[in-house]
Amino acid sequence: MNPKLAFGAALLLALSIVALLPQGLAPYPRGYSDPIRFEETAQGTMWYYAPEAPSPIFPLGSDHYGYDLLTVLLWGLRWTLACVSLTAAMKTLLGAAIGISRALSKAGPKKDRGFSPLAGIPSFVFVFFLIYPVTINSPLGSLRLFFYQCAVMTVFDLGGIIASTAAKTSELMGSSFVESAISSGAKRPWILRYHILPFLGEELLESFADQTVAVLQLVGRLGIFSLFIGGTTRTYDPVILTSTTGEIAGLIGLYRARLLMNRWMLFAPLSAYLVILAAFRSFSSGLRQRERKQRRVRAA
Amino acid sequence: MRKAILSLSRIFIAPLVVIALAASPLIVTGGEAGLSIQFRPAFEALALWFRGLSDGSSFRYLIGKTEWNLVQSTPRYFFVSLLYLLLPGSLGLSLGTALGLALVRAKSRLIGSALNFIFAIPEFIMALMLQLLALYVLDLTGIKLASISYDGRGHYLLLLPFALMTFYPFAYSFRLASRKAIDAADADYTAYARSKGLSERTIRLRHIGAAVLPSMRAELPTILAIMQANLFLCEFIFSLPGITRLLFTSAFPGRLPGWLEGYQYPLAVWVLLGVLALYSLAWLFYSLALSLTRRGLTGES
Repeated sequence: MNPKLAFGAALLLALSIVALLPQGLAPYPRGYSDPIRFEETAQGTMWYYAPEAPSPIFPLGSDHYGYDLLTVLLWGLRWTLACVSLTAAMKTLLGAAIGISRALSKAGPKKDRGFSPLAGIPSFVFVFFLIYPVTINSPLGSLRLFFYQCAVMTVFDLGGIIASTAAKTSELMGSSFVESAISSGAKRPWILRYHILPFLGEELLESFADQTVAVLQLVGRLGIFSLFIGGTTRTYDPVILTSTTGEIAGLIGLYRARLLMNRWMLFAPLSAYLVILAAFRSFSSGLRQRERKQRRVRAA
Repeated sequence: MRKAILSLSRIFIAPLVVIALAASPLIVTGGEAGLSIQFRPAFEALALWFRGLSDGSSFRYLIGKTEWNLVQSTPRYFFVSLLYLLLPGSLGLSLGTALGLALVRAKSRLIGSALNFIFAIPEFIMALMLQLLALYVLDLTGIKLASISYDGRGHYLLLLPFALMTFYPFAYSFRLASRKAIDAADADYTAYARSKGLSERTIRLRHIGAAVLPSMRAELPTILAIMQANLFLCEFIFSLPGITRLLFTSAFPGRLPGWLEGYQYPLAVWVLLGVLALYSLAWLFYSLALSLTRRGLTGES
């Protein structure tokens, strides 16, 4: 296991444990807020108003409603990891299924077919249009909305996985052991199950790792436009958009306006996002390095 | 011929997809029972839009309570978006290609690694980090490096979004050029040119450079797609008066209550059609620029 892969895997494991057990690590119960508090000191009573800067009371500071940011991040982490993992897994499986069927039907790789204006509309815009109607003050509830959002994000940007799986499948179909199986009378389902799928495992794992990074970026972009995983809560007096689940990438979009003052509110989710991104990227990069090394060994 | 026909068909299909996409918020709604699909509101909006093309109502939109005319206001928005698509991209691609060709292997690998690291950071994170950097420098030194957003009084071209829009095409073209330069440096035609006594500079420009440009042309859809995505984020984060920002600040009312009644279908359609036009113009511009550059380098027609 190379250092990148080891580091990425270890960090992902640590994040998963934190996501599963936030109640053990969070300094405050979920939903707890303290907008005004006081302390008796030698100088007299000191009053503190939200948002508070990082201190021993609030390790990462509090937001303008008095919620402890560390607690919010720890509880929101599970939504981020679940969304990224589930969507990446579904994209990998769907993309692989299409890629394999394309290769088996001998459709051949898609050649450059010229200019396409639709390439000018990024996929997150398509996702935005499809999830906007049901995300703000969603009647679906956080969990159902979460699955709907993951399903919508799954169907876009599959081109890379389809192409790589199709190429690998075509390569395997041309190998001598497959030809031998075909000449012995093996049917397509048999070849797929015993000769193709076992060799695609590594390819699919790499695709999954790449997709986790892409999905994390997509979720972050949607958060900038106030569409949060699990739902956006709109209050009416005053009119404010907040994240229903506290999902981390969404918190960046939420606290983006905290550039001029109370910057800790932006730093905390930004740093958490970068840690998660580093974990997924390191894991993905490490897998690719391992595959390249194995290919060099096989070629030698 | 087949490629040309397919391209033409895509040009005709794209506006139809855009019209359907803009209608999608009216089709999918959520209720206690779950998601429901209703096509009627979408068809009504579409019919109103077509009717509005003749009486002019499809060209009017609201920002807050103020009514605006698309024909009067959109050219400026479109111009700003086009400016951010063409200028930084041209600079990024030229610099990236030139540097990728000019640097020897060890240096290009070092810069390539640094660029890969920064390239891995999503553009919206980079935008926020640039804004934070400008603010920290201002707080610590009192020096204003750059404006963190457009304020309606200054020029459209701001340093931070310009730098961000330049960086990604620069990084992409640098990696492509240095990879191709390494391949071309060992090619037969390069060895032949060296044996004929041509200078390294001439070889890099006329032989290796000319070999890089077709690859750049082939990667143009990817480069432009990255730039278009960056444009959406840059215009929103830096409050630039571009056409894509209209989508999220006016077509979708966002913070305003009664969002469904506030959704402006005609504006969403025009913005998306504008984005298609932006991409098409940028594609034409860069294709022509690359073609003319290659012609200039090689002298071939």
